Amino acid sequence: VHILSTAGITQETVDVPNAGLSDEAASLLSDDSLPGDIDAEQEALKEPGGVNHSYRPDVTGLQLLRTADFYLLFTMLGLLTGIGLMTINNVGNDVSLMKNHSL
Amino acid sequence: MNFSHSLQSKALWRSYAPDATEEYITRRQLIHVSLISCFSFLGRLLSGIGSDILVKRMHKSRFWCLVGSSSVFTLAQFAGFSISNPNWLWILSSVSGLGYGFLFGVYPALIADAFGVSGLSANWGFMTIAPVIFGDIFNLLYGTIYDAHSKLLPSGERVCGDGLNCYRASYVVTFICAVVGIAGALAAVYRDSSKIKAKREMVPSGRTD
Repeated sequence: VHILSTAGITQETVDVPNAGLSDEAASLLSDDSLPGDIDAEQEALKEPGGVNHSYRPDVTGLQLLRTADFYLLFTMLGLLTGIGLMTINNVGNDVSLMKNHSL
Repeated sequence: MNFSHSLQSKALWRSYAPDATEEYITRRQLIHVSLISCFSFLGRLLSGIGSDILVKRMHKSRFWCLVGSSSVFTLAQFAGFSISNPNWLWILSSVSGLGYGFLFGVYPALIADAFGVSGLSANWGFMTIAPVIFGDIFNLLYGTIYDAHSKLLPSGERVCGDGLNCYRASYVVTFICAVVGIAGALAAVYRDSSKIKAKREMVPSGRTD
């Protein structure tokens, strides 16, 4: 946010990152429009200022490998699903082992 | 993987309790498969709807769902290395299913938030390589620990009669990994929250959302 002083009036201007990327500003759960009810003109007027909306340019393909977010998300998904899969794949085995043990 | 372990456990059943029928063993295992499925379904519903409420109504980071999921997984691993009575093993499968569903329900939304929606299908496809790699690592870990506690019979079969101790160490390892997961998720919340804050400061003062 820059503060511009023009003729004694203090005015706040806001940097709007590339206002053309309206598809990024569109949310999955919109507050002010119903599904199938999205007015393209209204959407275009919306500034990409929603607090939780994605506001960076879309990233895909090998570009992913150049972002820190990718490594964080990839490792977190792997770690947690790996833990889950170990249980899912082996719980049947656990059951029979302990049944055996108690016999 | 599942298939081979099921066969392995059937072999165990046959050698240790010859009176147990094939049908009985299969039914015992299928109860746990059903529990995992039902709780995974419940988890997906909770995180899918819950994360949108969290972000849209409460204006919190979506990564809090990841903290929730890794906490649930931590509980599951604790159950894994402490339950020695098979009658309580349903806790392990249901809590694991819940954590797994909770994770998969929210993850595509996290990917969409991070990298945008235009390349979502490719990005999500890329991400699903992670479960393949890490799933194999943890399954190999379980297998190695299990084999280390097994005896090789003259018939060529490997059997383990130590009950919980056959695989306890693998759940200790995954417990530590789940705790690391909580830490990673909290780090992600911190990263995301500072981005949300920076974004909020860019919004003109008149807007409240």
